Amino acid sequence: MSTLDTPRVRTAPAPAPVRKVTAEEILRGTQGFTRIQNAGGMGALLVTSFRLALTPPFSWWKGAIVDGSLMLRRCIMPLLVSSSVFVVGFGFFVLGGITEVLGASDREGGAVIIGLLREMAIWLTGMIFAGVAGSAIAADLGARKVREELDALSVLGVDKTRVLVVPKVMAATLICPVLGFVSILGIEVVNFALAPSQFGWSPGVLFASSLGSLTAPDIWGALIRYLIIGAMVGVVGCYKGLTCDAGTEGVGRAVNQTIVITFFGVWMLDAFFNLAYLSLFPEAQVSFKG
Amino acid sequence: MATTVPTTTTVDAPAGRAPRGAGGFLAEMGHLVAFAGATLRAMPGSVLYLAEALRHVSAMILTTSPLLFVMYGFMGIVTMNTGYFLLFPLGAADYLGAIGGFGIHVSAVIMFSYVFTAKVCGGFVAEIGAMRINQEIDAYESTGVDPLRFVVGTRILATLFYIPIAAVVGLLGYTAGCFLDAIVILNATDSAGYARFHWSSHGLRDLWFVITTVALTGVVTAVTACFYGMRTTGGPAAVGAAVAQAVKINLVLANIVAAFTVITWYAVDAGVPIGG
Repeated sequence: MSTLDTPRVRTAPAPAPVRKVTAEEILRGTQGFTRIQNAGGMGALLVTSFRLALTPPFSWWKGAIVDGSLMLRRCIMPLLVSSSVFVVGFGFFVLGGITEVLGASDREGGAVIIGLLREMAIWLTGMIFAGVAGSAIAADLGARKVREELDALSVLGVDKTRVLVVPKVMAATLICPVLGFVSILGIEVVNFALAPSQFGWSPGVLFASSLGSLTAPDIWGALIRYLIIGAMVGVVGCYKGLTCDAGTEGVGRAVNQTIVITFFGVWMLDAFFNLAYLSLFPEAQVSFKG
Repeated sequence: MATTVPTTTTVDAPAGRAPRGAGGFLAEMGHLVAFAGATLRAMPGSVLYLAEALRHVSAMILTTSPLLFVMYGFMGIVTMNTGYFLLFPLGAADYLGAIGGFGIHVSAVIMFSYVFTAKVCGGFVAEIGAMRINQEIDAYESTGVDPLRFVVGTRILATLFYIPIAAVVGLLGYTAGCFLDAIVILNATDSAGYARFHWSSHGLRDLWFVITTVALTGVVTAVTACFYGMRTTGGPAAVGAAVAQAVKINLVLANIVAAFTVITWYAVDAGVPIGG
């Protein structure tokens, strides 16, 4: 009469708890996952910062003026030097050389303004802006991260996106077109000062050729691209600065990655924007006129 | 092996903060030139550390070459877009290959400097700056290893090794981008006609131009990057500021070098296979 007599009910052993392994756990740490995560983080930061910027209170404008003036002052000299050298090297001796061989050196002005406004000035400004302003944003925010200033802001209840990121993103978005058109102006001034004596025609020829070739869609396209490049530089710089490692090399690596990503973005935009734009606006397909 | 004790010729950062404004900038450039001279003097000694140089080359080949290929591809697409929409309204889209071949002059020199400045030189500044902050550079000096040979010289040597590879990878990427855009996307000409004009305007002289310009740009930007890495002072935040400053100076230097090599090579003879 013991428990031995009672038939034992054999129950199935409780299954070992199967731990669900998510795809994130498998992929975490791989290079591809990190890249996708970074891209997602940047996209989220872009949406957040523009949402915060476009909804009241518009508290970002004072910070944006300070940041924007700093960017303008930092970028303007490198940009003007690069543009001037570039137009002497590539405007005169490459574009001008081709037109001279064709016996149409009077069209150099048109070739320069079309070639620069569509392509060269865009990526020249994009490179300088990404290299100077983007790296400065990443270095600034990375330094704050390393000094634990960002944690201090969170403790004080200050939204770091609203206070730090939004002014920088908006300043970059609004200052990039200004710099871009200043660059084009500088290129035209150098061309006006040196080209007539180089090719042996009067300045009026340059004006006629330049104005004859310039179209409104080209200027609008340049403006749109400058705005996109500015927003991209601001967001990438802020994201990389906010997420940098705390080690000695962390900030330097973050700045380095910012520059690589923004350079890549500028070129990808440049390659595919014009393909779409020139197909959609056939009236811009004028060849340079005399 | 006591004879190989190197002479330490480190160019230290000037004491205190550099003066601001134009005078400070000129002083900085002067220090840069002095550093470049010291580096070139130390270069023969860095052949001793060939393994270290080869390690840097392998890192460049593995991480920079794919980026270089893709970026040159973008450059090819950009050149073809501009060329096609200039030539198509003239009814001369068949000559697109000439623009592609001639675009080498512009693109090869510029794109290399951008990618190299961003990817490799930025990495140099970050590494050397971190070594400086962690006092590893001082440790090298105290153990009798000349940092100009071991840290800077090996990186310049690696740059020299990488230059021919970079030129070839870049030209392949550029040509692939041109073909992709002109023949697959835009369907502008047939591939045989494209190749004919492309290769008739891109000869051996242009290849030499590409290699010399890439070598000049690479060495100048690498030396500048090492200079800003070596003069980093402060904490981790200073490393970021050093990277930013180095990239800023390098971008301007790269544009200047590229423009002046173009002038020296193509000012007299544009090298276009048109006309007499």
